[in-house]
Amino acid sequence: MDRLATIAPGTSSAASAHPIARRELFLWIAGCLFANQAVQLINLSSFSAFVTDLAAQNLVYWFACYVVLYRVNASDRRASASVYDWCIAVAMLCAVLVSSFIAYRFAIGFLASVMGLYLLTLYRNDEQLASAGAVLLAVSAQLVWGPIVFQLLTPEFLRADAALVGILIMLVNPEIVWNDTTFRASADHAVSIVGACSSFQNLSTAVLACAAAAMFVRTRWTRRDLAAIAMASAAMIILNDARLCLLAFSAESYQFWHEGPGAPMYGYFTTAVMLLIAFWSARPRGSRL
Amino acid sequence: MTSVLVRIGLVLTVLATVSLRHQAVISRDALVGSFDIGGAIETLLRENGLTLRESPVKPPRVLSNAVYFQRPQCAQSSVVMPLSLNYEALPYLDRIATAGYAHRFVYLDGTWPAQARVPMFVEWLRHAVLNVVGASRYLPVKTAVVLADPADCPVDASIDWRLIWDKAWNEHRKIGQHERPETSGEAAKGARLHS
Repeated sequence: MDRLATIAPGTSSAASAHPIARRELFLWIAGCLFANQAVQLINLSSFSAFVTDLAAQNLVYWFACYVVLYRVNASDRRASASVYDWCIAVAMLCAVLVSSFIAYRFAIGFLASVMGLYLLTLYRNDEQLASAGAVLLAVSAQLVWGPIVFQLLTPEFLRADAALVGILIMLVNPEIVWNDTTFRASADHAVSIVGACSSFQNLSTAVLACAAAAMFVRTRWTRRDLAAIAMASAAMIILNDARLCLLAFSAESYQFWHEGPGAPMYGYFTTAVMLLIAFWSARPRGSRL
Repeated sequence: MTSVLVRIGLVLTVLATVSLRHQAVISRDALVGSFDIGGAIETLLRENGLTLRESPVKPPRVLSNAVYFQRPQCAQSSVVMPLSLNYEALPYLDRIATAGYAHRFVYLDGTWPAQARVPMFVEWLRHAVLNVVGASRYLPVKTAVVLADPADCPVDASIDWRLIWDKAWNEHRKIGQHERPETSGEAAKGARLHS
């Protein structure tokens, strides 16, 4: 026990025993996780596919990755890695290596959860590392936990979504027939909400935006962050339900907002609104912004 | 000196993970891109001597993926619809096969009377992992099928639906693909619905 105490995180005795600093070690782990995730998110098969994929990236996700690296980089430069840190580093790198054979994003999501929990548990007194851990957990929620929850509760989420869309449609075009999760504008045009376009699918992105912005501006959580998460989630649901209304109006409207230029327009607009709410909430107390 | 070696080790590890994952992504994309579930369903039905019916819904609509066929003992057409594991099936089913149809969900080794999200996901995960070491006979694509048969018609279990995802069967199917006959007839009225 005494021996463990002498090599506790950040102690000087550990500094002499290990070749690289704790900060650098964590940067390597985070960099490895994000580089591996990038391989799955960006299509490298051709230049045109690469450019198209870059334009379609989730900017909130990449901003959150930047915040993790920014916070880890801002942590103590002199603190050396403890035995625990080296163990987690070796375990994480081995796990990333093994998971490389399975090309699905949930593997990186699980590992980001482990890393986030490690930072939050062992370094809760180090504000920089704790905030990096919190954002890593939000990243993992977006990659794996959000989709799992959605998978388990899809029917309930879809009915809630359809109810909200139905209310909006009754206000703007009562002629559209609403039946469960299907909306029929005419004999030739009907839209069903089946999963991918549900508003609740993107709630983890709203949470991620608020967590990343808050931990970018400061290293402590405030009550205002909870309000920001609630506001961003509500905005995400309202915006997506408005888009679903547009999809239900007519085949032409569907073509524009689902298949045409309306889809990226909606994506950029939603991202901007999420980040606006997140940064507005994260601003320093007393700011006039 | 030690720190240089550690850094070299870390760089090599990161590069190894990225290149391995890149190869895995390329293999997965090639696998998913080459898999035509609609073609597999049609071939399977033909191999079992069943007559295909023309779908009343035309592409690009989602419901055009449904394959209609006629069982000799039934008055109405049956329908097979490919379905992503992430989607909710009921809205589709309500629009394809209205009242009077019994549903069955089939995915790899499993069959369910209703959409069973968790067992289907577990089935996919099991075969995705087994596939890494080449121990699965199936292509681990995240597409199941839902079968809608007229409820009042006795349906035999002679069709082995698992073949849809079978690697060897699909390879064999691709070789004989160009010998496919034309579809005939039209779906029975009871199974028709506009999308």
